[in-house]
Order: sequence, then C-alpha cells, then structure tokens
Amino acid sequence: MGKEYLSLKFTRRVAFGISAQTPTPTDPLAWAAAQLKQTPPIDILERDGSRRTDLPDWVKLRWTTDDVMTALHVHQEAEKASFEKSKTLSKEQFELERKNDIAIPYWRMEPWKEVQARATTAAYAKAPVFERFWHFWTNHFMVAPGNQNNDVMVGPFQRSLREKMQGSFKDMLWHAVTHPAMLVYLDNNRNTGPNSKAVRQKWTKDSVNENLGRELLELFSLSPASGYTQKDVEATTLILTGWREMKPDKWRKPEIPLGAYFDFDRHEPGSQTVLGKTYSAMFRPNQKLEELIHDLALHKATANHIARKLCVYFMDDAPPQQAIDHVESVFLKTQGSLPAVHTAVLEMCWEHISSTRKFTSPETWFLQTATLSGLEIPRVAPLDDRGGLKTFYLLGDLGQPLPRCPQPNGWPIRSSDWISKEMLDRRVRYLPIAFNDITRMNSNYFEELTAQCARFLPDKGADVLAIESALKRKDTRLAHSLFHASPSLLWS
Amino acid sequence: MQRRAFLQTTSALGALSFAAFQSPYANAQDHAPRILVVLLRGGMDGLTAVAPVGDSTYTRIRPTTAVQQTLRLDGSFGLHPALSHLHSIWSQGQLAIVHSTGFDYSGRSHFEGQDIMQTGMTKPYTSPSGWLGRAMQVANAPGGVAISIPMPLILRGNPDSVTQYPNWMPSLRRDVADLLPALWAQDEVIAPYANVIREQNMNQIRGSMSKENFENSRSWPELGRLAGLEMRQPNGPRVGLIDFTHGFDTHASQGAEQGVHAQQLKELDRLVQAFQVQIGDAWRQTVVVTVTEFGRTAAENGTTGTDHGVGTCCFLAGGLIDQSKVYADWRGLKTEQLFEGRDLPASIDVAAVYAKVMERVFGISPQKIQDQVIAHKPHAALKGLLGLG
Repeated sequence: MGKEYLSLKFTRRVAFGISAQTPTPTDPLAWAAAQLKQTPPIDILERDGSRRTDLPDWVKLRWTTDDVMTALHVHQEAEKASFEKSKTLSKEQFELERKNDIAIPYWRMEPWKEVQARATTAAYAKAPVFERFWHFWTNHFMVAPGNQNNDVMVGPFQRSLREKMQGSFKDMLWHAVTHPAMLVYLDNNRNTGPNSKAVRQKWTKDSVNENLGRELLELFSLSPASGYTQKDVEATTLILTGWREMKPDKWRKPEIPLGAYFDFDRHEPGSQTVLGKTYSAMFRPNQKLEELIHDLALHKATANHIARKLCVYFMDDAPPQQAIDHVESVFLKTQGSLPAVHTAVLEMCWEHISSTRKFTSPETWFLQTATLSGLEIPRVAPLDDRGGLKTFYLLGDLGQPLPRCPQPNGWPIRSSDWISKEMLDRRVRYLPIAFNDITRMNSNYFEELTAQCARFLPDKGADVLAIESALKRKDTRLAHSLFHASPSLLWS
Repeated sequence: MQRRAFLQTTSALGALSFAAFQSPYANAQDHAPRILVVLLRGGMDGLTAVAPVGDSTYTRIRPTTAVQQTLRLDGSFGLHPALSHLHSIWSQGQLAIVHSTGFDYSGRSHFEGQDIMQTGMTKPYTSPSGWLGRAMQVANAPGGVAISIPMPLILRGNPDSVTQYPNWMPSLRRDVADLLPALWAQDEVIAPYANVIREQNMNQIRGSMSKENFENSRSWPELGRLAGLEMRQPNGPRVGLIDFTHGFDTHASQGAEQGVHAQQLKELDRLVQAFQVQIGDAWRQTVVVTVTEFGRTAAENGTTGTDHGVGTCCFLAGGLIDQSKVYADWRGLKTEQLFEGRDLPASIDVAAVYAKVMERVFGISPQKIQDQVIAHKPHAALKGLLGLG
C-alpha cells in the first residue's frame, strides 16, 4: 500500500483525519507530535476556531471551582424544590415545571454545551491529536452524569484533565481521584471511617463505602490482573475516608475553600495496609492518600495496565506485544511522564500502521466524517423543543450518548464492541441526513470532494469499485455517502 | 429542517422488520420454546428483590433497607412489593426463583462480573462469545434478537443474531442499500451485516413517528413489548435479550419498599408484563430469565446502601415453568454463615440454573452443555426446575 494512503490512515488513527482540501502530511509522526506540545484551549467554537459568542450566559461553560460548586448547590436545591412542588401541583403542572426547572437546564443544556465544546474543539481547533488523547483520558477517568445530581460537574472535571496531560500520570491520578466531581460520582463524599470522630460522636450515620476505593485499584491504576485482594480494597477505602466536597450549602465551613477537601473528622484514624505496605499518618493525616497514590501511580502493574489500554484504544484489539512493551518501558523509565508516553503511542501507531486496524468509535467516526467533508458540527441548542440536529442526540443515535456513559469503566475500547447490525445501520442512515440536512452542498462540490477523498482509500478495493459505480451514474451524493460507509473509513 | 421527521411507524419497527431474518429452521417451529434473557447490570440485591422474611437476622443487619411489606411466596421468602406482576405469575404457577445463587466468582468487580455472567467462563476476559450464543450454535438454533444498539457479549458466538432498537432515522434509499453488500464484500468482519441491513431497510414501511412516540418507544416496557412483538412471529426469533439498566448498583440510600432499588424492580416488573402481553399465546412455551453479575453485601453498608457482594437471586418466569417455587440452599445470614463473613454465598452455582434453561429451551444434552456451553456445578436443590430431573 502506498505511503500516502498509510499516512492518511495514520491521521485517522490518531486524530479524525484531515480535510479533503488539506495536503497529506509528509512526516505524519512529526505532524502528530507537534500537536501534543501545548494544551489547546477548549470552548464552544465557530468553524474558524473562534469562540462562539451568540449563546446566552447560562449556556456558557463554567471554569472556576467556585462556579461549579455553586451550580451544584443550586441544582441540588432545585431538585429539593421540585420534590416539594410534586406534593402540591397537578401532574401536568408539575411535569411542566420540572421540565423548566430541571430537564432543560441540567439534563439538556449541560450535556449539550459540553458535547458541543468537545466536538467543535475536535473539529475546528488545530490539534485533533491532542483531542484524541484527551478523549482517552476522559474515558479512563470516567465521570458521568446521574449520581447525586452531579450534572454540572462532569464537563468541568473532564476539561480539567487537559492540562494534566502535560505532566505525570501520578499528578493526573491524584487530581482525578481527589477532584470533587470524582468524590461525588463514586460516592466517596459519604465514605466515612467507622472509628472516625464523626461516627463516634454520632454526627453522622454514614460509614464505609467502597465505590471509589475499588475503582481506584481496578480501573484507574493496577487493574485486577495485578492480583490485589478484597482486603486491599477495604484498606484503600479507609484511606479515602473523609475526602469529600465543600459546597455553599448550610454546612459550609467558611474557612475552607469550595471544592474538594479532607475532613479529618470523618477520616478513619490509624494505619492501613495496601499490597503489603502500611500507610500511617505521622504528620499529616491526608498524607496516607498521597503516598498510596504515589505508589499506585508508579507500580509496574499500573504501567502495564495503562500501556496495554492505550495500545488497545489506539492500535488494535490485539496490539503487538512489542508495542505494549515499548509504551510500558517508556512509562516506567520516565516515571509516568505523559508527554513521553503519548509520543511512544504515536510512534507505535505509525510503526505498525499497516498491520493493525481499529474500528472507529461512533464519536471518532462522526468527527472524522465532519473533518474530511468539511461538515459543520450541528449547532442547534435545545433551548426549547425546536427541531434541528443536535450533536449530543446524534451521538446517542449512533450508539455513544456522550456524556452519559453507563458505567465507570468508560465506553468500550474494543472494535468488537462497536460492531452490530444496529450500530452499522445507524451510521449508514446518518450519512444522507448529514449530507442533506447539515449542509446545502451542491452536486459539483460532492464530485470534487469525492475525488479529493480518493487518496484515503487503498487501491482498487471493492469499496472503490462501488463508489466508482455510483460516480458513473452521476450520483455524487450517493458516492460520497458510500465513501464514508466504506470499510476503509469505518476502520482506521 | 425537521430533526425528527419520523419515517417509521411503531409497528414497522417490529413485526415487519424481522421478515429479513428468516432462517431455514423457522418453518413449523411455532411451538418451539422461546427465551427472553434480561441482563440486570450493576448487581441486583437478592435480599431486596426476594426478602428472606423467615430469617430473623435479616432485619437486624438491614436496619433501614430490609423489605418488610412483601408479597407472600412461602414461609421463608417474600417478594418485593414492586414486583406485583411477577407475583401474579407466581400465583399462576409460572414463577421459579433461585436464591443464594451466583457465579463461581468472588472478585466483586462489576466489569469482570459482567464479563463472566455473559461468557459463562470462570475467568474474566477469556472468551469472545457468550453462553447464550454458544448454546444456539450447539443447538443449530436460528438467530436471536437483542433489543439493544450494541451486541451484548452473551449473544455473541451466534452469527445470525441481530440487534434491534427504535430509531427515528429514515430507512435507506434502495440504491444505497443495494450497494452495501458490494461495498463491504471484502471486509470479513462487517460483510455479514450488509444483507441484513439491506433487507431490513427495504422491508421497512415509511410512515411517521411523532417525537413523543419515539421517546416513549425507548422506555423499558416498550422495549419489552418490542421483544414480545418480534418473538411472537411464527418466523421470528426464539431468543430475545434485553440489556436492562445499570441502576442496580445501589451503594448509597438504596431504600426498601420504596427507593432507588425498588424503582429498578418496578421497571423490571413492567417490562416483563409488557413482554408477556405482547408475546401472547407463545408465553406458554416461553421462559424469561434474569442474569446479574453478583449480589450485594448481606448487611447494609455505612451509607444506607450495599456494596458489591456475591450471591443473589435469579428469576425464571413463563409457561415453561411448571410450578412456582423458591429453590434455595439457604445457609443463613449470621456472619459466620456468610461468604467471607460479609456476602450471601452463591450456594447454588447460577451457571447450573442457566444450564438447565439451555437444556429445556434448546434440547441440548447436559453433557454437551457442560462441555460446550457453560461449565457448572450441578446442585441437588435444582431438581425439578423446568420439569427436569
């Protein structure tokens, strides 16, 4: 296969491809590596990459911890008020008010604006490779809406991971585990030591909750393959007791800033043993968690888990062992320096580009279709029930309703999980909708576009012949739909 | 531009769409057994769904989450009040419950557990196929239908099974659909889907679906109804699968008679009811079976919820059940009777329950099931389940 085809396959492998009008990068690895050097700003963007300015204030992204914690509190209060209304209003009136108080602001606008920022930044900003790695990390440290009215925390948490991609895995792990969004999502805000002051003095009926402790070991660091035990989960859970969120409610302690904090009164005193090592608080009680996270982040099992997961995510369901070994060794040698690890992944993707293949996730394929064909990311906001394509509903139709990931282990990373009759059928049905509705492209444009896209296909495969037969019939729109539905474009 | 200029009728989603998947076995199989598997992800709390009202320890270790107002089953167990339809099935002699059961897995991880509950293996991530899919292969059974967008692992291994889920998108133009088989011909992974998609799109009636109908069509009862609609067809699938919610993972404030866990059970109950109504007479040769990855801690945790455990209960409902009964090898709820001092034990291997189901539904020999479908430890307490020895 030609180098140009492989270079373009690589642009789809580690990003969303390049637009039909853009020349093929002569040095694909350098093209990709350059995009990881800085952390690109993220926002809801116009096609030219500028920030979209036509949205009302209440649908803008929240950036500061104070804003997020205040919004969380306002949402939780709105839920209480809504519950009270349910006792007095008629069913119809209650449903109407609930829609305005809760459904539109929190269930529609929150995911809409965050998905919109994610998709427009991927499509219009200049560092799609960075975005792919960010998608990986938001999936690894999954926080999804649904638990404890956490809707407003999801996007700010995910965006906060971006700058951590320039540092070490240890710093990112610490950041994610002690972030208020994670503490709420996995119930750690109620995880309380049975011998803590709060329990002994009966301020609370709360006690241990293993949710975050288990996922810290299982999903975020070691993985079960490392062989930790239930005792390790229990000890980790105790070390996590007392880590919770401070918000501006009636229990606010004014001396403590909003966000995550360590409540010593809820913490289990004494020492705990994880993987044979005892963690004690000699000077600072929250030091136990710092040390545990330090040890977990640099553990060989963690390096292997992260390396394997990155290779499966980017390369193939069965990545070459040599690639996993290389990424793992870079992880260990650099003590988990993420820029070094990311670069190693790029190198392995390029080295093995012709012998590996990965089925695109619905999100990646959606963004690839937009990138290659220059489609606008649907921009309509669900401010009311007006029609129009909405990006986050579309992703759901395609089988990946971001940000509502069903479980804390994130979206599937294996090709086999993205292939089913419904999944494929929806992609094919989406294309005519995209090309009819999203744009007003004319037939000549499609012809030109399809010609420019030919370099993305291998020579004379069955898909090329099918597309050519459509072109012969002068059905350029059909030809272009077939192009995006071809195996070459469904896989990267 | 209309986002949802819906082009399908509800009935088009169901009845006609399956004409495409007729199998050579379809003829004269009207009376063939049918099975609907409902995956309950998150870990259903067996002690909430089917409360051990005869065990005095129960209310002691569950100060806020013990279910006390139950629907009567027998002297030992009571059914959660949200499961009123299941209780009416019980009254008709068509509900079997296996309690203190689970897989031979005590790692307490959702994701490993959900892999094992579908692959039927003893180790996670060791099989690309599921026990239901393998059973269909061994039995040479026609393809089943998963009411889902992705193909759940449990049905994989049977290439004729398909996914089906309400979709507002217009069906494909004929010329597009016609080109798919050629377009995908050289890709061994996706090529098999091309004809199925082509035929289904051609058979779909273009109508309209209102926004309300589309949203409603994705509720659990409606998905149960869709499964029933597919499975009642003389030439339709005999195997159905519903990948039900992840909401059983109730670490905090799970409630008892009311609350979040009760709400999940209510949805399950409505789903089964809608399925039963829709499948009609075929209910007589049908069994609905629940599958969950694990149970939850016997005692309440510190946040009025329950953490990941081991044993739970399993429901089997339908005309293939010949008597209502709770099958259990109950060890008790005192600390020393629990698994590792904390969990309801899996004293009956639930794989043995599913093995019996496979034997009854597909007529596969127990030895073949043991060797090729799902390895399991038979248990004397299961004698008589599904009329089998």
